[in-house]
This record gives sequence, structure tokens and C-alpha cells, in this order.
Amino acid sequence: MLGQWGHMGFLVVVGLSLPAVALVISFLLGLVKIRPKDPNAIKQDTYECGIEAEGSAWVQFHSGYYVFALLFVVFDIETVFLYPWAVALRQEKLFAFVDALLFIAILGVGYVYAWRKRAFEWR
Amino acid sequence: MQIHSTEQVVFYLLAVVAVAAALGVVFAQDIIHSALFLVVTLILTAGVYVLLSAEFLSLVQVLVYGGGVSILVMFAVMITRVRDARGPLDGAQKPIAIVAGLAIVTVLVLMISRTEWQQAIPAVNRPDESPVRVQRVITQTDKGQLMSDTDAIGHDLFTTFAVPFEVASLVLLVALVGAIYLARGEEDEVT
Amino acid sequence: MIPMEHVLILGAALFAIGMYGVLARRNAVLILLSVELMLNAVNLNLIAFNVYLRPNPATGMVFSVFVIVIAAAEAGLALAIILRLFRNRRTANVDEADLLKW
Repeated sequence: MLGQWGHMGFLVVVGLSLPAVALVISFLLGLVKIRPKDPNAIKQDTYECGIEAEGSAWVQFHSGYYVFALLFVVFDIETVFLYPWAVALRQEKLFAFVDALLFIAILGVGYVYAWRKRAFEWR
Repeated sequence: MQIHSTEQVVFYLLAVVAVAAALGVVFAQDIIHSALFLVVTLILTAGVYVLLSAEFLSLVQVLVYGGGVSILVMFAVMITRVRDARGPLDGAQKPIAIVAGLAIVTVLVLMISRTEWQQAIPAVNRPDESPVRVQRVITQTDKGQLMSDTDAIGHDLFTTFAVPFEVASLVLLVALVGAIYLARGEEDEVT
Repeated sequence: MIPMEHVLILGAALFAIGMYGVLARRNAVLILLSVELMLNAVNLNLIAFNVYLRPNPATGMVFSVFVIVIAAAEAGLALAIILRLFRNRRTANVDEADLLKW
């Protein structure tokens, strides 16, 4: 079982260790004073496209973001159902096809509703 | 506790980190940290699903939770998190909650350890990854072809669970319509 | 092969942690996160039973697909309600949403 996923696990380990090694090396070089560390207020400032950061990050975001995320999740879930459908279609033939069409049609109603409510427009 | 295979080692690593991240979810004092810890727990659970040979579920877990729900939670946190809405994240009932949590984990662990499970695959005497992969969800179709777990799920979804499948689409529709209505509000109704 | 009991114990631990979160938190978003944790633990159990006890090729897995889907729909709806609560009352804490309680 683990054999076929072993390569992927190896990839995960390498992917996680690369940034970790970079941080550790940086820390060690800082310990032996090779890496200069001379912070000041401007260097420590948050970089924001070159403009001086102003105010707090605790601002209220527009609720339009949420509607977009929600639309994404709903149609994400649709793909979750369509994937086993596509795999099983060879065996299940017509019934599964009609079943999935009905599924898509019902979610299509939601799509039309979202369109009518202008959920796709940014205001 | 005897460790028989590398699978087990990986499982215990995943389990320990997943439980630690779950504790992070409920004890972190910053909502963003909680949400990120939740993502860690859910992705590690997807890893456990892989170890249990439920690859499709693992994919769904990463797709829906790692991709969808975490973004949703992040946006909700960003929208509801303004400075004047801060304050303690835990209620006064915290001690009772600790007692209840410990009680339920004790009861569940006792129950699990005292039950005689009628396992299809005996968990004992499996020294290492055996060539016979009985644990994998492979079943024969009528024509004698091998089925992966995705095949099996697809088959069940369009035979036994065809009606729940349609109902699920209705639930999604209701969630979509309701959430758009609630999130956009009356002030931007389309006439 | 991982012993089934250990998978179940992992599920039990995650469930108990999630239940603690649901009971102890007062921010509605955090309560929802804890609910997701509990649902995740239930999924783990369903899959473990499916893989080890095998009553049927995929019933447990189909169940957990449905649980994941319904959980995502529920999260979307619940967060929309929380947004609405926040817009009306400027709070996301459940103990401050007490207009109908006296």
C-alpha cells in the first residue's frame, strides 16, 4: 500500500525540508555572525507595493468576497460528485447519465439564481 | 504496542500531529490560527485516508476542505473580524467543556477497546507489507473486472444512493440560494 | 496494517476535542470550526469501518462523501448567517446574540 505512495511521501518530505533547511541555515549563519543583522524601523516595516503601510490590518472586508468563495465551494462539490460519475459511467449506462443530468440541472437553477441576483458582478 | 510496518509509523506520526493541530484549533486565541490549524488537521486526515486505501475520499477531503471550506472560513473571519468585535474567544463555561470532552473521550476509548470487532481482515500477524493487498477496497464486478474505491463509490452512488444523490444537489441549491440571499442582503435586491 | 482500534481512537480523540471546542468557544466561527472537526472524526470512523469490517464495498465511503458535502453546504450557510448576525449586531459571539432570550 505504502509503496505506491512512498514517492509522494518523499516529495512531501523534501518539499517541507527545503524551507526548513533554508531557515535553519540562516539562523546558524546569524549565530556565527556571518549573516548581518541590523534591523531598523524602516526595514522592519511591512512591505506593501512600496507604499508606506497605513492603519491596521483589522479592517472589515467587503462581503462580496464571501459570495465568490461560496459559489466556488458549491461548484467544487459538484465536481466531487461528477468524478465518480465519470468513472462509473462505463458500467452504469443510461440511468447514471440521466441521474447526473438532473443533478447538474438542479445546480443549474442555483447558477441562474446567482446570475439573476448579480452575484457574479463585483460591486 | 507493537509496530509492524512503516504504514503504522506513518499513521502514528500523522495521528499525533493531527491531534496536536486539533488541540490548536480549540485552544488558539486567534481565529486565523484556529482556521489554519483546522486546515492542518483536515489535510493530515486525508493522509490517514490514504493509509486506509480510501484514495478518493482523500482527494475529496483535500479538494473540499483544503480548497473550499478553508477559503470560506478565511473570508468569513476577514469580514467579521474588526477591532471592536474582539474579546475573549472562550465562554465562561470552559471548565464544564473540559470535563465533558474528557468524559466523552474516556467513554469512547473504553468502548472501542472493550468491543470484540468482527474484522474482515485480522489486524494481527501482519509483519510487514504483505504482497497480498487484502486491505485495499478492490471488489469484483459482475463481469469479473477489478474495481477501485472510486469505481465502487460511483457504482453505489448511482444504484443504491441515487435518490440521496439528487437530494444532495437540492441541499446544495438551498445552501447556495440561502447564503447568497443572506450575504448580499435586501439592500441590493434585484427588482 | 494499522490496527482498527487505533484509527477509531484517533477518531474518538478528534471528536472529543471538537466537542470541547463547540462547548467552550463563544465565537460563532470557532464553534463552526469545531463542528467541522467533529464531522471529520465521524468520517474517519465511517471509513475505518468500511475498510476493516467491510459490510459492503463502499457504503461507508459514500456516507462520508455525503457527510463532507453536507458539511460544506452547512458551513456555507452557517457562515452566511454569522455574516448577517455580524452586520446586524456588530458581533460574532453567540452569547451576545440574545435578542430572543430574557
